[in-house]
Amino acid sequence: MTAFAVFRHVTLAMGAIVMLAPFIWLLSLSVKPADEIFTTDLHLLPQRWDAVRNFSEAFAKVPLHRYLLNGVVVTASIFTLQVLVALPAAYALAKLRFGMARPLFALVLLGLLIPAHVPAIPHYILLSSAGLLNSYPALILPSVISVFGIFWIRQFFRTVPDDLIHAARLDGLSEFSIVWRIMLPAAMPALTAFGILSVVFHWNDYFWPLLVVTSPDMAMPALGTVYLRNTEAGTDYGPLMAGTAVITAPLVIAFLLAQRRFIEGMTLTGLKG
Amino acid sequence: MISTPAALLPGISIRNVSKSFGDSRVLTDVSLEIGPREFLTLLGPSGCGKSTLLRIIAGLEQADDGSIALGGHVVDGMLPRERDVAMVFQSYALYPYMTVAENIGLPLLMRRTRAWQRLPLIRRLHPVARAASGSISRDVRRAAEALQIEAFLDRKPAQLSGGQRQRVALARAMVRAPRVFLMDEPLSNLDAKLRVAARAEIADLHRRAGVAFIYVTHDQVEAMTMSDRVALMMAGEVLQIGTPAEIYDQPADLRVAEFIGSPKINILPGIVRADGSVAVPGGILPVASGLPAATELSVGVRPEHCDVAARDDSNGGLRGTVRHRENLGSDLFLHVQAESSGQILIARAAPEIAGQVPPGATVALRPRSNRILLFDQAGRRIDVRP
Amino acid sequence: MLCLSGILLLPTLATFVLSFTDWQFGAPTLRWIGLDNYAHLATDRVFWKSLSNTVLYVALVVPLSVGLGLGVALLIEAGTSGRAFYRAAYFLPVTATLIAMATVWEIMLHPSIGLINVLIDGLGFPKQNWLKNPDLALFTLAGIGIWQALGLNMVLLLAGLKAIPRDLYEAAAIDGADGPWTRFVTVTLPMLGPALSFVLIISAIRSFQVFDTVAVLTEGGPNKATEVLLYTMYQEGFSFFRAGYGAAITVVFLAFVLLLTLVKARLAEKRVHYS
Repeated sequence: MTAFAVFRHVTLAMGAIVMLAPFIWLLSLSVKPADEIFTTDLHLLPQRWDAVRNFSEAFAKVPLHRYLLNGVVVTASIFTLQVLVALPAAYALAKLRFGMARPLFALVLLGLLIPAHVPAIPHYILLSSAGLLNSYPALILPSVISVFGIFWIRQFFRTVPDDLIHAARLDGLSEFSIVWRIMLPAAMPALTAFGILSVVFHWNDYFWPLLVVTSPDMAMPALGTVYLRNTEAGTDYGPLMAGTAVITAPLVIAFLLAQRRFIEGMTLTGLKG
Repeated sequence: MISTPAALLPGISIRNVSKSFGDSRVLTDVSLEIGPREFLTLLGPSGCGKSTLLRIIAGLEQADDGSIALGGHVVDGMLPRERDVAMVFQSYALYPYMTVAENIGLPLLMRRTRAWQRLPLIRRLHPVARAASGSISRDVRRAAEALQIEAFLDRKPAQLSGGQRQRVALARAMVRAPRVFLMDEPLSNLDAKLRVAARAEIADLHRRAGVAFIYVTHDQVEAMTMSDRVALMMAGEVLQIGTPAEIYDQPADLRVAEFIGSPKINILPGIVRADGSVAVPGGILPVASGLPAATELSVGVRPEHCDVAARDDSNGGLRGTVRHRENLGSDLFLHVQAESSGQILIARAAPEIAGQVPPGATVALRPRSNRILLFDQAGRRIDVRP
Repeated sequence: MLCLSGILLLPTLATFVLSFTDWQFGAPTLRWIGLDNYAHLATDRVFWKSLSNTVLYVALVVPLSVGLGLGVALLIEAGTSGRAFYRAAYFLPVTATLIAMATVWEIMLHPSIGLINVLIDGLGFPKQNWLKNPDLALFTLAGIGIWQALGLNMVLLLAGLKAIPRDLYEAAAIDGADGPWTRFVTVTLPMLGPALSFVLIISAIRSFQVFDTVAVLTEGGPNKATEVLLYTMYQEGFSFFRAGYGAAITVVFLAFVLLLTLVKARLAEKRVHYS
C-alpha cells in the first residue's frame, strides 16, 4: 500500500469511528447492567450481560411496539396518500394542457419555498377545532399534500415521451387509467426516491407529533424516545438505551440493506430544502 | 518499400509495448518507429487498443511491458508534463470556467510559474509572475492568430461552436511547441462538413509545426487523407504499417483489406487449379497464383476494381442478378447476387449505365486481373507476380 | 389541486394573519392588534437571543459540516478500496432518528461517566459539563448538528465530484498541473463550484431549522444559551399558548428561509453556464 493509501484509510477510519461511535455505544450500553454503565472504566462489551433485563424493562415502561406500529402505519399511510394525490396532479401539470396549468404550477413552486414548520400553528388550530387531535388523522392529514412530491414527480413525468400517452389514448384508455396504468409504473424510480425521503422524514419527525400527540399510545418513534427518556428520568440508562435501540433499529437496518436507494432518496432533501 | 526513417534521427520509438486491464489484453507486443516529423495515424475499430497506446505515449497510462522513447530519451515512468507532448482529446477537455485565453495559456502558466506564484495576490505583485503573464499573453495571442480564433480570446468555451472549440484545443496544444502532437479522434464530434475543413487545417498545422503527429481514429478517410503512414490496429496488434497507398494496394492481411475501402471489399472462396489459376464459384479468375493445385484461398476484389458488363456475353465473368442499386450521382454501386453461390457482390459501375441495369437484370462481373488480392487460409496476403 | 391551495397556502396565509392578532388558545374572542406582536418581538430579549443563537449555530454548522464533508468526499474518491463502507458509515447518522441519537449523545456527554469525558480525562484534560455549561452548550449542539449533517453534504459533494469529466484531469496533467494541490485548485474546486454553493445553501436552510436537539437536550437553556428560533416559536405558540406571538415568530423564520432559498435559486441559475 502506498503511503497515501495508508493516510487515506487512517484518516477516513478515524472519522468513521467518530460517526459510528454513538451507534456502537448505544448497543454497548443497551446490554450492560447499571453498575457497568455508571463507571469510568470503559469497556465495549459488558462483563455481565444484562440485555434481557434492559430490553424487557424498556418494553414494560412504555409501549415500544406501539411506537413502531404507529411509525409504520403513519408513514405508510402518508406515503400512500401522497402518491394518490401527487400522481394525478403531477400528470395534469406535466402532460395535460389546460388554462390553469401555469398558475397552478407557480403555486406549487411557491409552496416549495415554505418550510414544514410554518403552517404548523394554523393546522393545529384546525385539527383542534375538528376534535381530531391525538389521532392518526392528525398525524397523517397535514402531510398528505406534498408539494415536493408533486414537483418531483412532475419533473420526472416531463421526461416521459408524449407518444406513450398518445398511444394509450388511441388504445382507448381514459385519463384516469392512463395515470394509474401507464404513468405509475413509469414513475417507479422517482417514486422510490420520494418514498424513501417521505418515510424517513416522517418516521424521524419530532416536531409535529410533539404538537398533536398527547397520549403515549399514539406516539411516533421520535416522540416515543422522549417519552422513554421521561419515564427513565435520572438513572436507568440500560433500559433507556435498549428502548432507543429498538426504536432506531428499523431505519438503520433498512438503510444498510438498501444503501444506494436510501442515499438517492435522501439527497432529495437537498432539493426539498 | 516501407520508408521507415532510420533510428538515427531521434523520432518516437515504441518497443514491445503490452498492456492489460484486469483480464483483458488490450495491447500485445506493439512496436512502432515513428519519424520526428511524420504524421502517423493509428487506425482501427473501437476497442483495438489505439487510444490506449496513445495514452501510454502521453504518460496517462503505464505499459505493463515494453518501452517508449521520445526524441531519443526513454520516457517510461515519466510524468506527462515531463514528456513534452501535447494532446488533443476527443471531447477537447477545455476548462469550462476559464476563458479561451486562459485555456490556451494554462500549459505555459504551469511551466513558467510555481504554485505559490499563482496565488491571487502574489500573481499581481511578484516580478516573475508578472513577467510570465506578459509573455504568456503574447504566446497565446500568436497561437490564437495562427488558428484564427483571436476574436474569441475572452469568451468561455460554452459560448463557442464545436468547430471553434476544437481550434481552441489545437491552439492549447500548439502553444507549447511540443515535440509530439497526440490527437485522440479530434474530429469525431464535428459534423461531416466541418470535418472536411478541419482535416485540411490539421494537415496544414502539421506542415507548419514540423513535428511528429500521432493521430488516432477509426475513420479511414481521415487516415488516408492526412497521414504520411498508417498503422492499422486490431485487437491490440499492429496488422500493418505503411503509406496509405500501400495499405490500400497491398494489404498484408485479410482484415486490413476488409477495413480499408468503402464499400467493403468482396471476398470469395477460391481454389487453385492445376494451371495455377484460381477458380471461384461462377468462374475462373485470370490470375497466376503460383501455388500448388487444390490450395484453398480467399479472393478479394474491391468493388471499384470490378468491371460490369450489362449483358450476359460469354466473355467470362461472374454472372449474377442485380438485387439493389445505389446511385450516388458520382458512382453507381450494384449489389449483385452471384448466380452460382448466391453471395452478394458489390461492383462499381459508371452512373451512365444505370438504365441498363435495373434490379432483376442479369450482369456479368469481371474483376481486373492486376487488382485481384489473394489471401491464404490464415488471412495473410499471397504476393502474386502478375 | 384546489386542496393544495387549501391545505398549504391558506394556513400560511392564516399564520401570517394570526401574527397580527393576540389570540390565545381557548380564548373566545379574537382581537386585532395590528403590528403589536412584531413590536413586542423587537424588544423581546429572548427573541433576539434566540435569533442570534440560531445564526451562530448556522455559522458553526455550515462551514464545518460542508468543509469536512468535502474533505471526506475527496478522500473517499481518491482511492478505490472501502468506498461503500465509508459512504455508509458517514451517511448513517443522516438516516437515524435524531432524537434517539441525541439521547445517546447525551449519555456520551455525561459530565462524569460519559464516554467523551472519560476519554478526555484519560488524555489529561479536565472533564466538561457539555450541555449544562452556558458557554459550551451551543457549541455542543453544533457539534451534534455537524455530526448529523456531514454525511448528507458528503454524498452531495461526492455526486459533484463524480460529475467532473476525467479528461479534464488528464488535460491538466499534460498541461503540467499535476500536483495534488494544483489539481484541486485548477480543476476540482472550480468544477465543484455550483455543487458546493448548492450544498452550502441547503445546509444553511436545514440547520436554520434546528429544533430536535434543543427540545430534547437543553430545552433552550442553560439561561437561553441554546434558545433557537423554532424552539422559541414552539414555546410561545404551544407552551405559552400565545398563538399570535408564535405566529409572528414563524413569519420571521419564514423570511429568513425565503431569503436563503432565493439565494439558492439565484445560484442554480448560474449553473447553466457550464453546458
